[in-house]
Amino acid sequence: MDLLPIILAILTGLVPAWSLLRGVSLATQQKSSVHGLASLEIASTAEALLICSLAFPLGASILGLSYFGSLAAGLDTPILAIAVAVLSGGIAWLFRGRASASTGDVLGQNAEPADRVDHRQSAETPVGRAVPPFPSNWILGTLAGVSILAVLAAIWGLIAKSPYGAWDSWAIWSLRGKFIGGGGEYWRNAIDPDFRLSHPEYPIMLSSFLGWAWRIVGLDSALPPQATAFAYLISLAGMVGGTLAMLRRASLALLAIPALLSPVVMVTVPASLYADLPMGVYATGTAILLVLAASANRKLRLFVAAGIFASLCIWTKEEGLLHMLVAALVVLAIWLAKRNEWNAQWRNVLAFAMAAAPGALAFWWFRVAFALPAGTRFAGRGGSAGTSIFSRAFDLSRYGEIGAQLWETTATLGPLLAHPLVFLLIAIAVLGVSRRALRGQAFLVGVLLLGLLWAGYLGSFVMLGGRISAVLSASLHRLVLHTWPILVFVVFLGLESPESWAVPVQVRTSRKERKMAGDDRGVRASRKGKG
Amino acid sequence: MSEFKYPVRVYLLVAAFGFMTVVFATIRLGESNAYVDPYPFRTQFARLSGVKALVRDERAIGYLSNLKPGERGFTQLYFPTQYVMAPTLLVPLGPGTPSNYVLGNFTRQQDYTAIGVENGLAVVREFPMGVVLYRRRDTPAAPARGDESKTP
Repeated sequence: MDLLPIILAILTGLVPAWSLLRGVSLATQQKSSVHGLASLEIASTAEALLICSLAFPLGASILGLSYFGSLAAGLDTPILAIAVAVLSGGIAWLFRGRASASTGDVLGQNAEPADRVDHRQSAETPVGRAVPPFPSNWILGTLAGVSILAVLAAIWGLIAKSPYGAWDSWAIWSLRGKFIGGGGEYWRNAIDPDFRLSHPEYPIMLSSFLGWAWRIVGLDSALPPQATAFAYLISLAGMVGGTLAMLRRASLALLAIPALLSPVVMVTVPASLYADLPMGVYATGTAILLVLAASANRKLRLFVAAGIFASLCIWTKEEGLLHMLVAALVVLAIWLAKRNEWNAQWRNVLAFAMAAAPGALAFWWFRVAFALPAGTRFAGRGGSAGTSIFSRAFDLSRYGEIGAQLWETTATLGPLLAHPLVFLLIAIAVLGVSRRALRGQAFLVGVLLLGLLWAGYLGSFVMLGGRISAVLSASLHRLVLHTWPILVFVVFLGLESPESWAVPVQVRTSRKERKMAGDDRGVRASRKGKG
Repeated sequence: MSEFKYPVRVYLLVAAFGFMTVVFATIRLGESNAYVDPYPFRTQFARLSGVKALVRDERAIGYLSNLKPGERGFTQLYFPTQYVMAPTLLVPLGPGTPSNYVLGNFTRQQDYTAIGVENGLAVVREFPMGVVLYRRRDTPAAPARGDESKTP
């Protein structure tokens, strides 16, 4: 019963996710390898994984936002949110469009071709020779499974001792959820100015989903925020792995999972029940959808999906506004990059904008109608009190402080023997970069998005009021989660796959096999003679 | 017929990832096992269960403590208390504080009645471990929900 809200959220998000993403993967065969999925127009297991991974974030956002909307309209019933969820699924079904061409939706003329046909030039690997999956994928799958299970078990161990999470959980996110889940007029406490010791102006989506979950299972249950954290983490791993498997190889996807989960913050932040994990999920979702959109011929649906996820960023945390702005810039960059196709490509920009607009406008309404003015991000306390933005921008000592905090945070992400950056560096050193992938639009979009995000975060750190070192030491480890998954995704997107290193070897066949082959040739020759 | 073979470097990569995965998985599980909760909420739930039952129908009540806003330890006491008392909002006592009821949340034994008088409050009931339920002196004495006993 306590897991019912999570299950409902997954079911809610499945139809929209399927409607937006089905058939978009690289399909090298006309039928799916997974029985029954062909009837759903899902072209590959990786695509199914991606759809399922996006389902919970989408569903949680639909349920959370619709529940808050119903409360604001004076209707206190969690069933209404479920009705809205069913309605949104119906709308997504109606607008699903045609999934794919009859040959399966290969990612179009401008797409990154899968390196199922590997293109590394070597004397041993003729161009165009199809390479089967890496035979030790089962080992990589085991490693991915071990890393996932270890992280989940570690989180569970922390949650068992601190079932209510850490400070920001019971002071902000889960606490507001408790208010919203109280029924009646209690929900107003989440945005009440008298709640000024906390942050009533913060985005409400996560808290609203938790409140909706508590309305279903009862306020005494500690499970809603815990289960929500697990669901978001699993979604994140599925997103990154599924998209890498779609765009590149399953081997790269499986290698990426341990790298993704290796930082200590992938345990501590989910266990803290903070909003930074959902923020990372929606940010990563936006990134991978834009990368897919840059790769795919059927781009419109993907731009719509990216716009939806970008708008959900701003409903999750304050930093979401930066993510949305960066996504919009990347969409414009994709459009501008195709100067000879401006007229044809403007629809993609429009699709992104129209998909992002409702969420963005609704958030503006929330801020104006309910929340206090934006927090004191640029107000000063301590040493920087009263200094202007321009003086902070040119104060070089601030950059030094930021660098020192970044170094300290990076150093504590993991032990040297298993540091997250060591995972990436070893993969780069051994597999090498794929020149073809580096030249592809998908990789360039990922790099551009990541670079703009980092620049935005750096700018926000420089503009911080108060002592930078104190603020960053308390928050930087959480902010890592906002972009680390995107970094892992982009790095592995640009690598050569293990299959690229495959060397064909002629295998001596047995006498029996040669005899059978010879018999076959004789049969074919006799038929040819008769024909 | 041809198969494909892979260079040693690929298998070294697999081995390296395997080693590092085992290392970080072991460390994470060890850290999780060694973790000690710095915020023992269970104490707060037990401490506040009595007063919560009396004010659970109040959307917001006042909040009074020997620790003042801005003092060290104020928020460390306030937020766990607020979480336990949710969905009822605790509003630090001041002009315009809603509700007739005020939760007293003290970290040391004091004369709670005198503190109430200073703040225009009357004690409704005292609970163990520094928890007191007050009401405003200028409002008629009315039993809080679930309180069948007569108020002082």
